[in-house]
Amino acid sequence: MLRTYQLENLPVPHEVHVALFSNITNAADLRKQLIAGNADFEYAFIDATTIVSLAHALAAAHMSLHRLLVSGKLRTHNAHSEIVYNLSPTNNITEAFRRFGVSDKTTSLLAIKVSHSKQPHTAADVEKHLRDVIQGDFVEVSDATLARQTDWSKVKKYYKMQVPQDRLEDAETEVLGKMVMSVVG
Amino acid sequence: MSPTSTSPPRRFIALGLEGSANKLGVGLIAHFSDNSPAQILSNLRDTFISPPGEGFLPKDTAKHHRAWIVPLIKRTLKESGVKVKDIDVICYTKGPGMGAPLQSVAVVARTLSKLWDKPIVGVNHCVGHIEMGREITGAQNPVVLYVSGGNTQVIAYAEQKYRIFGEALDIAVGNCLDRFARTLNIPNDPAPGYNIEQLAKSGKVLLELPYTVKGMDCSFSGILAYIDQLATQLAPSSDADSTTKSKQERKPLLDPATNNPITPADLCFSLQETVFGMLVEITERAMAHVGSSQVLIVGGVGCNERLQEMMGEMARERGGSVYATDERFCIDNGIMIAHAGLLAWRTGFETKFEDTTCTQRFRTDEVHVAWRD
Amino acid sequence: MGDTTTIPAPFTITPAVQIPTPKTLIKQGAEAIVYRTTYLLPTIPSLLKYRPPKAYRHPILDARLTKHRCLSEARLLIRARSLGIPVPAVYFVDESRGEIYMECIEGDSVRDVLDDMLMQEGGEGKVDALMVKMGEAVGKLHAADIVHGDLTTSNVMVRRKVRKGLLCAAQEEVVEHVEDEGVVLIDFGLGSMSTAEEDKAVDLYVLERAFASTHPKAEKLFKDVLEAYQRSYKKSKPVMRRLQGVRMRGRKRTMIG
Repeated sequence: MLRTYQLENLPVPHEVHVALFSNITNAADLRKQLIAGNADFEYAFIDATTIVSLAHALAAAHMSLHRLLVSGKLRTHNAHSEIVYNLSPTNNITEAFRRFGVSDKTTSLLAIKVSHSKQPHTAADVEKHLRDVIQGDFVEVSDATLARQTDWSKVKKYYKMQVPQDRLEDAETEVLGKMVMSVVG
Repeated sequence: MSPTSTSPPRRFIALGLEGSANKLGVGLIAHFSDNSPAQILSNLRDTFISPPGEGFLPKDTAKHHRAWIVPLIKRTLKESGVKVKDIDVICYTKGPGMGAPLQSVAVVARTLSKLWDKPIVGVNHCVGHIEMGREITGAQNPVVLYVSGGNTQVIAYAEQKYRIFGEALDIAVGNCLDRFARTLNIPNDPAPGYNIEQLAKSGKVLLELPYTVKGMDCSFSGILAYIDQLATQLAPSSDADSTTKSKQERKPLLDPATNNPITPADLCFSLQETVFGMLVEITERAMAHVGSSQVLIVGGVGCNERLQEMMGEMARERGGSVYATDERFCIDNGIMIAHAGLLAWRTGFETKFEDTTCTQRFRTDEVHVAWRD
Repeated sequence: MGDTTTIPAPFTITPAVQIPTPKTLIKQGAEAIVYRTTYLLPTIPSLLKYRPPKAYRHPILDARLTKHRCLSEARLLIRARSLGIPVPAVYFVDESRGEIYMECIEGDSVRDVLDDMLMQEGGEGKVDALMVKMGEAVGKLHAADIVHGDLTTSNVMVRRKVRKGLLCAAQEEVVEHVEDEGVVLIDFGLGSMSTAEEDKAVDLYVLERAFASTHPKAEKLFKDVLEAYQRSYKKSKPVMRRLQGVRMRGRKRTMIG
């Protein structure tokens, strides 16, 4: 159920653990733990309705790991908060969390945990912890399941998408482009 | 070359007269019919140097040339021992260059042609530099960077033309350096560019200056305007240089890292690193385009050792090398005019008397390079 | 970054750990090296455009230029793409290392296919369609005030394969009819934003020269490109007028000697 990826063109060893939950009921509680800075709760907790595809989520994780492992310049507190920040097409950290991070009303949650040599986490440990703390349905993560959760009005608003994209892949490309633009623009 | 022939090769001699800018050059060169290396019989030059802070004006420059040309020609003949009857052709700079100086030399060339009854050849100044550079360095078919006070071009030879691949779109790099020398009131003796080069050696801080490369071309007026502005912000120097143009209108310019004031040397250093970077870049682009790894630098700015060093580094990275001449040849001289003129004349080229005019704009690619395949 | 004595980041970092993803060299230009590699997953092909440091330049100047050019090119590509102009998608940028990861376009350049296409049976129809697509793409580009800067037939690609579906699901389909698929403009390393007719005219002139010098048989087809260009770019009249001037001037303005 939990998927683990090793991303291309990044130093190894590293892993990206991704899990998707729907119908969650304790969003508010999760958010409290996150804010409290509880060490066990170092995750990127993303509102999955803002995610259009698997690549969308992985791109954010890639940017984060690149900064952590290659360039050494994180813009937020840690690699996980960095993932949520990377999703945003602007450089406003607070806005990024408000829009893309877990909120009290979140019902679809995408959880990402990165593992690397300084802070290793096995898939088994991550899956167990998530199952323990999240009250909801543990769903298979894939383009299909993610697409089912996408709230397009939100995505279009947050990413200021102008032209209505007929094809899903064009929308995905535009979203990725906006994410890069917030760094280079 | 037949081994049975015992007669010596035929010798061709050309007199070259150059005065397109502030350097007056008279040269005498010999070519041989067996194509052994050219022989430099005489290479004399006198430079008109203006006071610090001033450029050289056409009127004054022409006056200087008029005063010096006959003595120089006389000295050339005397020192080389060449007789007038041995001279085959008179060569002069047709252009490009400054109007009055060019004319002052052309008049003499025409007069001598009539007086001595010799054919006359008008030479393109840039082609003169290129051909002399090739002769002296032995470089076969390099990409040429021609950089002087009046010109900045990247040239590659193809099908009997020196084709321009890239150039400065506004002012020449030498012009940029010379004008900045004036801004800083640097002496023009021996040459403003030379003095900038020396001053730059003690510069340390690399300031951010506008770097303008557009495709294969570059532009220098922006960086000149910018650095002239910076020069006004320099802290007053400790030397009693009351004629300096620097003003302390607000806080003097400081190095952000050390808080030390920026010095004129720092400005010269930054200017050189930036403009030379631009030149090397457009040269590299041309080299990639034509698939060449050799570079030849000609023209007055080609004497600059930092430019030679940077170009050499780039050429080495491409598995090639840089060729450059010394100040006898990279600075405007008469011998290059004699050399290029003689090459043309030997292919049967001659300038009709009524065409022995001068032109301020004479593009390198207008010349038919008949002496190469 | 005011310290002028230490060498900046890209020159000192040697990663302490392995980066195992393979890269294949595709092109080595004066300014950048292009590799074929992947992005995110081994199944997602991508191009890496890498601007290596130039040792001849002062390191501070070099780092500054590399960073600036990298950002500029990425911005142009993303902007063009968002306006519907066919260019590669940008995946990831690390400007301090001079790296851009972008979409890999499977196909050949117009330069490589044009002459063969003309010789094929029924090739003329394909070529006509190609000319129209080219004109339209450049028209859209200029309408967006983006100038390519090096618009030769080597920098216009004809797709052989098209990606269908989302990135992670990457499926590549072979293009059946070239004339239905589009062209893709690549290599914006010399590109810029510009409203100047002169710059746009020079873009067209460079393309015209490319046709003349590398595709003598197709030279007359350039007019088809221009027609499609004008149809797609409503305000192109001043550019077309300027093109005349650029043609007459030949290469460049003359300089005072």
